[in-house]
Amino acid sequence: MSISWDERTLASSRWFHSGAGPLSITLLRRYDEWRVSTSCAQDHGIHGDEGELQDLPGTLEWQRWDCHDEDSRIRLTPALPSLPVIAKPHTSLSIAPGGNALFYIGIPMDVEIHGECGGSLRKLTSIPSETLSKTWHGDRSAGEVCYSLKTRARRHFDASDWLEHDVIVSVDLHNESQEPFEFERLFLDLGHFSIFTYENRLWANACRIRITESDEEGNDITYDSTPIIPAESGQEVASAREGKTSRSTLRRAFASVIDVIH
Amino acid sequence: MPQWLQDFLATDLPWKILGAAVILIGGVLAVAILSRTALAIFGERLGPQGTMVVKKLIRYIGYAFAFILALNQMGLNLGAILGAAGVAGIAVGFAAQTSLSNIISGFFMIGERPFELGDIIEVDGIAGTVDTIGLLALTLRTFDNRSVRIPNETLVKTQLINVTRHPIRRFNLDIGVAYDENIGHVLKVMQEVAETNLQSLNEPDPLIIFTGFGDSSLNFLLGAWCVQEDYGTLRNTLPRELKERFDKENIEIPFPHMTLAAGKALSPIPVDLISDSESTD
Repeated sequence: MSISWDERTLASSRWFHSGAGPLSITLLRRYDEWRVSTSCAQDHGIHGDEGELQDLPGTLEWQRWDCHDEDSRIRLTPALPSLPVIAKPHTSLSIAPGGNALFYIGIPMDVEIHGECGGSLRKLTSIPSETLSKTWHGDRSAGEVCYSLKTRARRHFDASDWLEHDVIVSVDLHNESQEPFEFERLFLDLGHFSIFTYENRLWANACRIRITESDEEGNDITYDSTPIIPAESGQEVASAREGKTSRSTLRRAFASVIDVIH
Repeated sequence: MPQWLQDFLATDLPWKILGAAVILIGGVLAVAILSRTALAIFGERLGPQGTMVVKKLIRYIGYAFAFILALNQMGLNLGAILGAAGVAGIAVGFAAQTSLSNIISGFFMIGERPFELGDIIEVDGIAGTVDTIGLLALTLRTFDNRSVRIPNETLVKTQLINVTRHPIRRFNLDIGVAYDENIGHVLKVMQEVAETNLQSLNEPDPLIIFTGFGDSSLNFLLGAWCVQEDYGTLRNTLPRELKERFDKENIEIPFPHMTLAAGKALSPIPVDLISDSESTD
């Protein structure tokens, strides 16, 4: 089932159902409130995409948000996970001095639910389409918690390789140092990635990481404003959480990339 | 104006009282200003507990000093008072050895900063959250919401464990399986359980080791890392998931058992079978 990211309306006592990968989402407008039920079970007992309240199984567990009587608009938007991600390829790859390698990494999206409350859309909740395990970035005294993602780090794009609930991030690594560079894992701070939709797939704007000899000089991550070809004409459906930037201004985040990779 | 008031005003006593009052009020203000200035300069370096102790120290010394000055203003013989205080001080010093020791220990704790307000620590087998830090003692709030006062001297003398100093922590789970099980397979299953647990961190790598041959079981240790906030959840989820997975893989967790022999080490215990008809007779 593919999710529609367009805004829609929902009358009182009506529901609609959508899903992203293993995640199933049911939204209900009932009395003066929005109700959301999520499940990762394969058989959630809901038939059809929308209907009346009496068609829903009574076993659903709901979260509820207050709204006004006349509020009816609702919208789902994709989002990247709230924590940074450490992506580990199944097998490492050595990049020769002066060489570069383009990788595609699929990050399971979160689904944000926005409901109309008092005339304007308000974020109600955010639900991961797939729960990732956690990992630690740093030493045992200081660092930050991240999501861990095992990836095949594919070198070529083939639409059939990707799951519908993945946001495809292209990472172009340039080894500008004099030493071969072993790509074993990659720290990705997701705050500067926007999400675009293109041919029923979700894409993030492309990024390029330059590896140099010294961490203090020039190592950086550069963000494009659009996804890589073939999705460069994709339509933006979610803007970057920490705002758009062409170059990471955070030395910490950027240095982390290098620290972790090395 | 009554005569007694006229007589009173004719002496210098009113001016002395007024002077003493001004000194006391000025002293209180000066202590407040001094306290704030000192904390503004050193507060960050001292930390919350140091701040609290220094604030109290400045206040007590400042008030005592203002009080002595006020007495001096009143015309009392300060030398005699201080002399008496000195003699009394020796006597009090002997009596208050423990309190002084606690105060000095408190300074050591401030310098060392082994914990902060809100940290979870364990002292002498008592674990809890650091609630207040005083000149003489700190107060711990235990997990069942009791308040425990621990003298600073005890903190210096005994082993103190700060549970929440570092952001991540390891949960160790000892587990035994039957001697029939394949050690390699058990290690692999434990690794998979640790990897799929949502609270267990993939890095640092979980510690999974075969710890030895027990009386009734092959023993293993599973040490899974987690962030401090997830520790309680991990303690519940990891053993449950491991048990469920062992059940699925038909890996037996044995209970302690003992082999009995009838005198001769290798001879079995003789067993006589009795038929149903005989046994009911």
